[in-house]
Amino acid sequence: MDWKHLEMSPKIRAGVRRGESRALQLLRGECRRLESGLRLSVGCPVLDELLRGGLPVGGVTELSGESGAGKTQLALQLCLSVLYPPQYGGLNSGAVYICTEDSFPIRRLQQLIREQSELRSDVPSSLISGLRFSDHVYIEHAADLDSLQVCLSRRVPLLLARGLVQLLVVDSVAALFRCEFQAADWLERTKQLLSFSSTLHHLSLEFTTPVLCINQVTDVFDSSGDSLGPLSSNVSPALGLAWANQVMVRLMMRRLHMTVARGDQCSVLRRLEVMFAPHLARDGRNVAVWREGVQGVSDTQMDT
Amino acid sequence: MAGLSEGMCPGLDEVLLRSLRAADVKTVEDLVSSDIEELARKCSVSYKALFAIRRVLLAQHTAFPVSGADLYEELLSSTAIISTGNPSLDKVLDSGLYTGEITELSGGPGSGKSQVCFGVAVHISYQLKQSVIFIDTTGGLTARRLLQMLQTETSNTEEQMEALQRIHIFRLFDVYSLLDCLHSLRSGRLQQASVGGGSVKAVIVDSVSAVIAPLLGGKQNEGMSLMIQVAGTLKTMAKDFNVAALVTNHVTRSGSGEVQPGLGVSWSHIPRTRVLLEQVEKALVSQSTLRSATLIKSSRQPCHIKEVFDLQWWSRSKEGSSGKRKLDETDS
Repeated sequence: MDWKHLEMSPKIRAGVRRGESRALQLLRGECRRLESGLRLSVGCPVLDELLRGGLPVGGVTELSGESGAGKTQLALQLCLSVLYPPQYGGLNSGAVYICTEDSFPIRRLQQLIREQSELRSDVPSSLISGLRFSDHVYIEHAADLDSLQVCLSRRVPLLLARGLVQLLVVDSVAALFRCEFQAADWLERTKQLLSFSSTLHHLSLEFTTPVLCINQVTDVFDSSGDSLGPLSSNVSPALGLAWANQVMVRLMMRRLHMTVARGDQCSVLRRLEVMFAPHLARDGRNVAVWREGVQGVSDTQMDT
Repeated sequence: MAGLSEGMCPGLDEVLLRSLRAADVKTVEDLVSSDIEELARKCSVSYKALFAIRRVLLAQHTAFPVSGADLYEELLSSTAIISTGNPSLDKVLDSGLYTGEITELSGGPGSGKSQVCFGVAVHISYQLKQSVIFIDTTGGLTARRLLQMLQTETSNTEEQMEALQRIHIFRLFDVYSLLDCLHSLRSGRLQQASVGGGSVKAVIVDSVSAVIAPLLGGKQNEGMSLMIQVAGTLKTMAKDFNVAALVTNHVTRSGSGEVQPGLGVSWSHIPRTRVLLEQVEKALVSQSTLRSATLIKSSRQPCHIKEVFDLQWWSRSKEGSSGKRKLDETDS
């Protein structure tokens, strides 16, 4: 039965005008306003399969992991993949990258730009050479919470409103909140964290933009009493329950004790896992970081 | 108290009103509690006419006493119990969601609250063939996930699409639009949603804490009053239209480190039944879909009963479950 032939009754049309919709319309993509099916591709088919298309538009995605796990690499790759047209998984626009810890890895970004045709073999090379990647990545350094708040409330909405960017990356969320507050100031820290996350939500929903927040991890000592968060290792994302409640999709990246080789390159194997998401099953894929970017490693390619 | 006005009852005309006001009788209460003989003399009206007016006003304005037995009978005949589709969860909820009440699901991130809401919506719209109103405040609802759950129930595309048609979705992200939406549902949109798709049996709000929690605490008290307004509107809607309200809440840590549902003590009085969802401790293996549901507040069952259920239950094909209306047989 071809369900495209179900007719649109006038009640439904009136309902859509009023902001209501039925699940059927969302599925058929008829509600342009809600855009629930749009995804930002990561640039690798294995990882896109894990995320069922990519990062969801309209919610906060968190990527956490230990230092050196490859979070910044994935974020840089996303900044480039957002520039592609929608049929190749992008959003036809640029990205804003807010650095709070180290300075932005500009050399690595240049290297990734040079190797884009290696990574994205599905895109015709004429299209890739026609895209000016470095023109569309906006970099901001925020050294403290106040400048971060100013950036998010003034500069980023301007870029979003003009359609110049369609991705917001904050690297990293934990750095500023962990170092600026003492242990006794937890109330103030929670308030600032909530106001920060509500700004992010507001931006994400008003401009239908994916937001990626990179987070650090903290050691967990008593794993038996904590049945709240899924624990597959002895670290858990930082900033606690207050932040975890604001996040829609949580991804975790960790280093494994294996390497994988391809051609003349060798990489330590990582694992990207979905901790929780409303539309994804809990699953993971092995991932390697090459010169051209982050790519998922299917089981057949691995050598132990 | 209602003031006396012309036309309230036959015999209460302009002339009589003016003379009553001159005698300092302005409201209905004044009239029925004053001495009729004296009033008749003062206003130069016949005693019989004033007595008749008083009787009519009494009949119109007094409260009508109802016996407890009548109330119980009415409750029995109007309350329906809606199964959630998962028998272990139904056991915790005393066989399902009760119409006319608010049921709350709380749990940490990733504990399965949204998945349970999706499962309940799919169950009601497919198995029971009734409409569901789903208010999404987190942005986590995707139609594709609902379709995935439906595809395990039936492979008939037409039935899947009909079931999707019966789920009405509202996407709101702040408390004022939530209040607007609830008010408009009460004042007529609920009936409109019922036409042509089975009556609305459940209103699911996922999650109510996402819009209210940012307003609580801090120096302004507006958040508290908005929370109570949302609660009042939801409750009256559940009662008036005989729908089951299901809301989700986040969790916080109490002073002693224990996990407790969010939104504080004031909210804890509002739902009739509260369930806490957690990961099952021994299943620390990743990709486990088992969750434990603990009853933390109920007026019908002893608290702290715990059941383990599988989140994948709604995604498994199964035979038809009993979703028919049941009379409540317990007398607790």
